[in-house]
Amino acid sequence: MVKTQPQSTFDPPRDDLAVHIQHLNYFFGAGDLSKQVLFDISLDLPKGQIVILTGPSGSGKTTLLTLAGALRRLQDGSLRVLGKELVGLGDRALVNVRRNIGFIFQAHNLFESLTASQNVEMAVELTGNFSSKQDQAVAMLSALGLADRVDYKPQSLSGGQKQRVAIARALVNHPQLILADEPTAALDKKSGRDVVTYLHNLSRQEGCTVLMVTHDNRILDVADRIINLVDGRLESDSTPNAFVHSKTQEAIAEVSADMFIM
Amino acid sequence: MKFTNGAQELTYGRLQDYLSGSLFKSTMRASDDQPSFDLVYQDTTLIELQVLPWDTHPYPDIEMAIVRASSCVAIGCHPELDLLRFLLDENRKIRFGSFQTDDAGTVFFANRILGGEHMDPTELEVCLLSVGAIATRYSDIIIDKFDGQRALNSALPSKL
Amino acid sequence: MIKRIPLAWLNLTHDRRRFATSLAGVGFAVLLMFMFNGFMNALYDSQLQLLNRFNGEIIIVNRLRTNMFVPRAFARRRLYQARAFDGVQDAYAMYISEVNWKNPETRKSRGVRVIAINPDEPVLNIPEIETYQQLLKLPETALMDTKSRVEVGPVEPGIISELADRRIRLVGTFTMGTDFASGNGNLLMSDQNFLRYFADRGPEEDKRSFATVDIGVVKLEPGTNVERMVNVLRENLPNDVLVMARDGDNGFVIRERNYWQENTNIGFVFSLLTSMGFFVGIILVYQILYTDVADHWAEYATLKAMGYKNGYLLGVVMQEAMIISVLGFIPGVLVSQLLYTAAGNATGLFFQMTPERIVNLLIATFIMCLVSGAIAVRKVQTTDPADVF
Repeated sequence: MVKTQPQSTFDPPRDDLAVHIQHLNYFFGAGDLSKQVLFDISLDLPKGQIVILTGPSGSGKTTLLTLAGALRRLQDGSLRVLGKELVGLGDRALVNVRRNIGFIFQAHNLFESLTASQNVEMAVELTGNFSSKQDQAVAMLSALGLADRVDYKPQSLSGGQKQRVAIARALVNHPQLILADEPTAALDKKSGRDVVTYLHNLSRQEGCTVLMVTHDNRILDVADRIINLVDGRLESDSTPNAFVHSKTQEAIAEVSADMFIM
Repeated sequence: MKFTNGAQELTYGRLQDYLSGSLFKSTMRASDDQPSFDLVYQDTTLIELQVLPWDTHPYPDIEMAIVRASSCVAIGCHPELDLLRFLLDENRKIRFGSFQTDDAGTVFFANRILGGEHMDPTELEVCLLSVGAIATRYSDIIIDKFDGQRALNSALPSKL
Repeated sequence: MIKRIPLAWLNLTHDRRRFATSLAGVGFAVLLMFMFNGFMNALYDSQLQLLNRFNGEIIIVNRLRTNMFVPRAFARRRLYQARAFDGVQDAYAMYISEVNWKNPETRKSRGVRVIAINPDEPVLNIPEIETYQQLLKLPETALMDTKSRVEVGPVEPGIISELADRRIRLVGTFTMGTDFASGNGNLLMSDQNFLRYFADRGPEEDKRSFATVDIGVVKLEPGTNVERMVNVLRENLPNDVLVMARDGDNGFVIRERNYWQENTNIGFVFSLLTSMGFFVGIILVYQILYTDVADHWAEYATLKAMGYKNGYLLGVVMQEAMIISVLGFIPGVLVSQLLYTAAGNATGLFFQMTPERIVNLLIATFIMCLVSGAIAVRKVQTTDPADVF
């Protein structure tokens, strides 16, 4: 049983990181049945980065994702999400943090009794925007190509469309952090690519951070960074597109040959 | 496409990534069988970008590659001696890259940078811009001064 | 006005068939409660039917008459004494007994209640007495209660049969209703006839004569204070009689009702049965709510993951409980009303659906649904949404 480190031993909060994990340990169960699933995880996710989390089944990827999504209580280590420390928070406070995160699950989990628009509106209602909720929902669904399906119930939608509704629901409040658990698992190649392209564009345009758990090799190219988790430990952390992204994004002025002649 | 070593392949991939997002993205063309690209600078100047493996280098444990950017400036210039003197003189003033000639008397302007793991993207971009800018400027000067012509497949006056 | 999406309503009604079944279930529990409660009240109310027809504000009985049908008499003199007081308009005599009536068709004997009064005196609020006033004065005549049970046989005027082995002729009918102390029926006759038949009813009952009275009904002058009169009579009449107001908290009606409640198992049995109906209802509603929660567990957990508080889910479950309780109550009441009428016709007992009883059972239905809702909700609150994922 690892001793909990006091908060003072962790690095101070940083503004540029969407997710800041330090020496995180996580256990399932309690007492004799306690099983450790995450071992000393430390991870920095800068804002605006698209990160893919891969690894074999049972490696703890989904657990890490749910922890980052404030879905579980944490005791050991430091996990800061959008500036808020989650370790030690009670249920009430965790609920509040969840409202700033968009979580895309593997299953769409839509209410059969609500239309696509209503399902998305459920998310908007959390913010209190009752007067604009329908407009926001319809706009979000349109952005994902579902403009003509807003009043359909899930039973009249295909698997791919249902997943897109779920994604609309997760994104309608423009969260700064998007967590996705196998978002393309239930989708065909085109739908999957569309979804991932949408997330990529969203991240670039709005600067939101995306952390995605996936096995799907077809979409790995969209990531800035690929993190591999094996048996609860960080195995590798590569940045396939780092070359391009490490280039300073300076504007290029009108180039003249005089610049290159002394 | 066959690559000689891993560094060449890595460099090729990174060049492709860079070019797809750069100001050259609409004019770039990749070769089917060779690790090289063609791109157009400011609608007028064709730049050839090649990835060359570097087999003998100072670091025995790693692989390395070289990126060469070159542009054809003029052909058929004379008198040769004056031309060569001029070119060598100008080389001294030019910050990055140098003028080169081949057996046929074609004048190029080229620059090379280190590829592979340690290639720097800003350096790559500066390399491309300098090749483009110098080739564009000096093409007219040299053709004028030394009675040359524009090279085939280069210096197309209209937009591609 | 745009408001929250009514998730509770939409979830409940989405599956039409399941919604209908849920309402039927609640309606059934409501029906059970109404029927058992109804039986209990019918039994009590039936006992009071006769009592409620007394034309008087004060009742005098032998102190040993613990319930209205105990065969104890008191001296008629007491009535004369009562009449003497200011405020008393009149004091009437009434006789009552259980006797055997022979069914003219089957020739089988059944017990019926016989009530006897002076046809000239307005003792009971039964209009037929006035109609048949002259006929009742003839010997060996009586009126039969049309609400008597079928076993009593035909009840038209003109029927001749035997009462306590003596000839009797029905000259008319009236309506009152049976009770369980004398389940079969009521006969009404004049006091003179009564004494001819029943002066001596054997060792079990007090001997009767004109000098004795079974029940005294005292009518007061209009505007007289009943309580004051009761006290006056109590102070001035000897202790062998009990003087009580008919109505009111300490009145005869309540006393009679309490007697039946405390001295029989009716209250216990039917309250138990009603409670069982209540618990059946709780289980049914819990089952319905739990099924909804369990079937949509992933969706609800997703709401929690989105940032909805536990309180919201509690609200949804409670709203569902309320909706099915109210909507299930309505068919339950309507069917109960029909069954009350049918049961009343079959048993002759007095089944009454008062607004007060409806409200009471509506409250019970609410509580039933709130309790099941609370239990169903605990399941929602204690589970970690993350475990779903």
